[in-house]
Amino acid sequence: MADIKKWRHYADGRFGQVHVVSARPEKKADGPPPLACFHPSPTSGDIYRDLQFNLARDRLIHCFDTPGFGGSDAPPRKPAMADYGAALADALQNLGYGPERPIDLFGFHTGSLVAVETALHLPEMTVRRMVLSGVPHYAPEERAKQRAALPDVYPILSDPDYAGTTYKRLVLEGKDAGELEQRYYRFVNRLRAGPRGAWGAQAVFEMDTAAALARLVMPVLLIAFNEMMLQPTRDAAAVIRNARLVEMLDLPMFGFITAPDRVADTIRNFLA
Amino acid sequence: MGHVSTVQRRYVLMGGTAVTLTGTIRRARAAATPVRRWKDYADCRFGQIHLVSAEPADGSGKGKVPLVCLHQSPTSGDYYREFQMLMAQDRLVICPDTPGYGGSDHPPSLPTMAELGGAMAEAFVDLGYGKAGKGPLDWLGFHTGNYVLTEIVAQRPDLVRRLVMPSIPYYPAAERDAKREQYAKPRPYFTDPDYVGRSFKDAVIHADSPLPKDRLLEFFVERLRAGPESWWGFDAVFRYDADPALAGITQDVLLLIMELETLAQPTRNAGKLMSRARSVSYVELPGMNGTNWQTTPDRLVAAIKPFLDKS
Repeated sequence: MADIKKWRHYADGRFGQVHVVSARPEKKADGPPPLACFHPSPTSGDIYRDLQFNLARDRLIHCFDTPGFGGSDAPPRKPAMADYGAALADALQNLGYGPERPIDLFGFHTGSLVAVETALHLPEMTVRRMVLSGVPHYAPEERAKQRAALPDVYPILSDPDYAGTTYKRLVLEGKDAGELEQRYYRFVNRLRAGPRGAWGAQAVFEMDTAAALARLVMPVLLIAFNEMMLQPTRDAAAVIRNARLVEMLDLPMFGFITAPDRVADTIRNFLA
Repeated sequence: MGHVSTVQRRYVLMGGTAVTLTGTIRRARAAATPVRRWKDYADCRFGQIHLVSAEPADGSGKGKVPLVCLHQSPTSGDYYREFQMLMAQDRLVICPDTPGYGGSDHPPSLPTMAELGGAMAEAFVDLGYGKAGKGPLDWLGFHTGNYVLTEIVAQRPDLVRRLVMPSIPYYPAAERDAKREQYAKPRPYFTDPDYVGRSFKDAVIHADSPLPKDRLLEFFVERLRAGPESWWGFDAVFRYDADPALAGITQDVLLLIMELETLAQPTRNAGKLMSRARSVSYVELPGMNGTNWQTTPDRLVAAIKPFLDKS
């Protein structure tokens, strides 16, 4: 197993600083293009800890905290998905990425749409390939219905029992994925995003995904786990012009946590 | 005992001058300089130390010695946010997270205060300070932060110009042991299903605090970020024999006595040990405690700036 160097840093974006956890082989060598990963909400880039560790054996992996989550500064007002994408495109460009130094992108759930908008905000030829998993691509009526069901803010401060019951469910009863310690820190990041952590999901269900996905020109791998986004991911594959769909139906929602090595192999094979 | 004779002890009672000071602060606010605040990392033996820095946006703070603020356990450098933004009107103010807290990497095992102070010193050497670089800094500690500071003074005196030390947890050895038994033990995050929910209600929802709930939520989150090892800072404090380090301080020291803090008298007691300090000044702060860092940061700035700015 190669030794991995992992470190945290910041890059500038239009809403302030964007927090990044990066990892690469200890012995730096010319590997494949780096991969930037975007997380579901309301979590942080740390959700990819195990996947990052595996993929960083042969390339540089950046796991970004979306603005308003983890260690990244929050937008001053409720953002659209395009705002998230623009801010992360700023950050990637400030890290030196562009047509002369291309990068691959990966995102899951909210992060898949953040990846799409980031790609669309970067100069052409900056994003070489994309991997999208659990893509929340719905018909407009269904999207509007799901948006209407979302709260304006999470009731962290208005419901005295919210924090305690959420902790029990996700951390102690294991309704979230991964080891106890991982579930604990994921809960902490959920609380850290605060009541406005709801903005991420709102941006998802306010986005015209059909129009955005149709604009992607690079090769795109879609990975579908056995979860609520299975059919939306299949539907997304039909919209993207250069898409390849891989279904891993023996894996649950957070397949990249429960089987990081298998998911890493699937991603690595596509990006090769 | 020649060193003792050099100690100048100066006592100031802030309450009596409050009107004048308040007026000064109001004028200063009217002409407030925009402050830019940013986050960063520096390297140390445990990995990375996270820092939040602030300075005048127009670059006008370059002429003054930067101030570093070391936090209590189990918080992070963000504890000082309100104070930092005021203090950074005319200088660089850096608020690091102690290893194991906030965004800083955790030590691999239970650390001593010497290790915490040594790691913090390394971070500031990494940032270019010290005799071989940008010179010394001014430092402020609070509770645990004061002992991180005394260890920095002991190990890297070239990093320290002046010390501001409110609320020093200075206790005799027997009392330290009792307090370690009381505070330095794992919290039952994973064994008591109601612990987090109960703590959240106590610290945020039903807290008897003048601070807004969203700020209390931020404090609570910082406490959780320290994780199951959040008690390590307390352990380091109550295992620490501070006498040699306090007696070894040779710089100018300002002791702030926050009247409502349980550490008011321990701070006075600690001051008595600073026999080699170039000067030891005391400022009594009637009616104040740790919440004043957030509620009346202007009063603390007024108490600290004259000491840091004297020639």
